[in-house]
Amino acid sequence: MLLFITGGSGSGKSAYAEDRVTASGLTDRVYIATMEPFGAEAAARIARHRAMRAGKGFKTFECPRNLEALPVPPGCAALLEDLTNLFANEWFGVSPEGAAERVLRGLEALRTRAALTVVVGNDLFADGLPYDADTLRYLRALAHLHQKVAAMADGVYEVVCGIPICHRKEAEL
Amino acid sequence: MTLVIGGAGQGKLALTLRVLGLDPSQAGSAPEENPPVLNHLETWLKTERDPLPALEAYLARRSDAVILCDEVGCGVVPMDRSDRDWRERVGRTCCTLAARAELVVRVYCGIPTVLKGDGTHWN
Repeated sequence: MLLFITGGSGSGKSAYAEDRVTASGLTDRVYIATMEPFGAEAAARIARHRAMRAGKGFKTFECPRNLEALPVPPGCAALLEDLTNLFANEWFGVSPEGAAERVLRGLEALRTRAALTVVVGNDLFADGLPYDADTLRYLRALAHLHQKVAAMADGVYEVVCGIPICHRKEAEL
Repeated sequence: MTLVIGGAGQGKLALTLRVLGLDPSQAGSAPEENPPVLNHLETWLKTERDPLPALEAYLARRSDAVILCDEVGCGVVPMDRSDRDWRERVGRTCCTLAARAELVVRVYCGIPTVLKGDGTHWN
């Protein structure tokens, strides 16, 4: 079972994604952290998410890139946070060439091992602002990746003000 | 309290005034002024770093308030720290308001979708 959960900044998508994991009844819970802790702002964001997860029984795996090789326990509930960081780390930190394919292979491997995979993605596609060619290329590739992940997902949800809007409903777990 | 959200220029105010039978003079931009319709919450939040006390006081005075806020979180992370903080603050404030609202409506191209509550009169 793969759920894809998107939303804008501060939309409550992380809290909803955690709820879906805790509500699944699966007790072996894995949090796959993708952000590299550079700078005070990243550290504050990481601390905020840690506090949100505290007491919910998540075991944290750091995975800024190369998701395909991550040895998550079979049958676990995995929360990947988030697709945007993972893709950026593959694109900027390794190479734009094949970055989407590496992420997709990683997700396929993860969903095969985990009983439930919840992927959080950031909606970056609706500010209407002009960007330079490199940024646009990256944004287009990320948007295309969102389409691919949505296509492989059993359920797709967009979170607005903490409220999930269902774009595709999964069958019962 | 009703929360109405949507992207910029989607027709939130026009729809709200039509549905509620209000006129534009009943929309204001600061909770301190106690308007029936609080428009452009996102603009007020630019300078309000700790917005919840003023909003709580406003809602205590006016429990049937209608609050309109642009969605601003669906873009590239801003380069400027204060823009990032503002964007996050708008999102978190809307999550808090949505949790306690009786009705949450999202307006897209002038068309309302009720996300929470009984909004049959909005459709």
